[in-house]
Amino acid sequence: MRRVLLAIGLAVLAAAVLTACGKREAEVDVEALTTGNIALAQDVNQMRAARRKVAAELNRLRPSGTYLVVDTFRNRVRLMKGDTVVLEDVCSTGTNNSLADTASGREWTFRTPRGRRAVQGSAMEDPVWMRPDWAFIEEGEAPPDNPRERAEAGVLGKYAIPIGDGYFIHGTLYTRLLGYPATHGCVRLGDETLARIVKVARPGTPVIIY
Amino acid sequence: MMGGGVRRWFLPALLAFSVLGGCGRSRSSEAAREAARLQAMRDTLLAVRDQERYDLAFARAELGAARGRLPYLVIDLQARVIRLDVAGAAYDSLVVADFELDPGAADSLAVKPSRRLIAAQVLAARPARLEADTTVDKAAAVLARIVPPRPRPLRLALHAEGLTVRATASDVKSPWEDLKLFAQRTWGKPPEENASSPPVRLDVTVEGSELDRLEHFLEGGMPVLVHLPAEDHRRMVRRGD
Repeated sequence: MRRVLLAIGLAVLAAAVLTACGKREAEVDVEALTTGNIALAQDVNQMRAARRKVAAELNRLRPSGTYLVVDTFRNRVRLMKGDTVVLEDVCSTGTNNSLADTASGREWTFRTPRGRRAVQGSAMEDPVWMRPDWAFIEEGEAPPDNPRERAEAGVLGKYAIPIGDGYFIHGTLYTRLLGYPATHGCVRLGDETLARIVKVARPGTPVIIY
Repeated sequence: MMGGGVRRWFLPALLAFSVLGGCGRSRSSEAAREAARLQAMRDTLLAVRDQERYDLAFARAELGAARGRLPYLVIDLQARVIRLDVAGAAYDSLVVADFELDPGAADSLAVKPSRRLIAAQVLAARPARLEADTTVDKAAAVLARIVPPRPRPLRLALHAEGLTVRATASDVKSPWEDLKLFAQRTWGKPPEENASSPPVRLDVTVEGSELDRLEHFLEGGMPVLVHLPAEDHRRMVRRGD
């Protein structure tokens, strides 16, 4: 009888030891995996929060309110208010042609500058064009020394809106060329569209050119 | 005598061992099931983390480009479009019909998604007859003299820092046939062919005949961002782990 009890006792002990070992191993796995998963989930949450911050910053860079968009490929202009197109019409942008002055070694490319710009000041009414050197060289003439000889009235239309670096959004005499690349870099508009834009464009109004 | 004695203590011992062992096994198999469930969860979390890590890196690169004044090009291989963005907003896009990435290109592009455009080479069809010669429309004739029609581009090679993107129009049946009489336009200085570390290459086929629009967008120094398809960057990130 003693032997039987001893044997049962030993069997219970062996079973308990084996079970404890197996359980411990499984518990270690579960514990390590749980800890690892919590850390991974925290990583994911941190990255999501960082991405939301970046997205918000990106959103702040987008123009809002009233702004102008000029498509130099299709030669179209859009007046936007938020995501809504308030007005869309044809325009003329730079030809991308080049002009070289052999005498002075200077070279010009007549390209509308692309990217994010802004209206730089109030629109000028009845602007007078001060013809730059290239306007004379293009016609085979020497640029004059007297600034008065550079002034030409009427060619820029009723208004000229400065957008920086000597570029303007202005009117034109050559309305049949609207919708085509025909300028030396400025953006030409028809009278009616120009008048509507002048009413809403203020210094600082974003101008997106692409 | 001996056999009877052994039977007498062996059978209850075996019974006790089996009962207790069985309980233990059932408890440890429960733990194993839990471990398997947690392992599956870990795999999912790893995939989500890899995706988040890549998306965050790309978003940061995009923010960097958007802060600049210039437009930037986003070649989104996941959405299969080439977008022209300015300051975080898309203004134009072209559909990518197909693309092929160099082996190893995904690794490099996942690490550095944004590159500056250095040069471009354009292979174009032979110039059409000048419109000025054929048109009866006076305005068109004037225009054709101001802006001579440009030959339609059939293939563009964009050279950015450590990256060459070759774009072909999908309606070009046989580029070599179309290029029998070709014109080439180049701007910038393309990298040397035998450079010590050759650029990674991405070939894209652009839907239709819109390469002229892509060519028009290009500007020296503009950022070019490549957004990889999910499976490519996941594979790369995993290898890096």
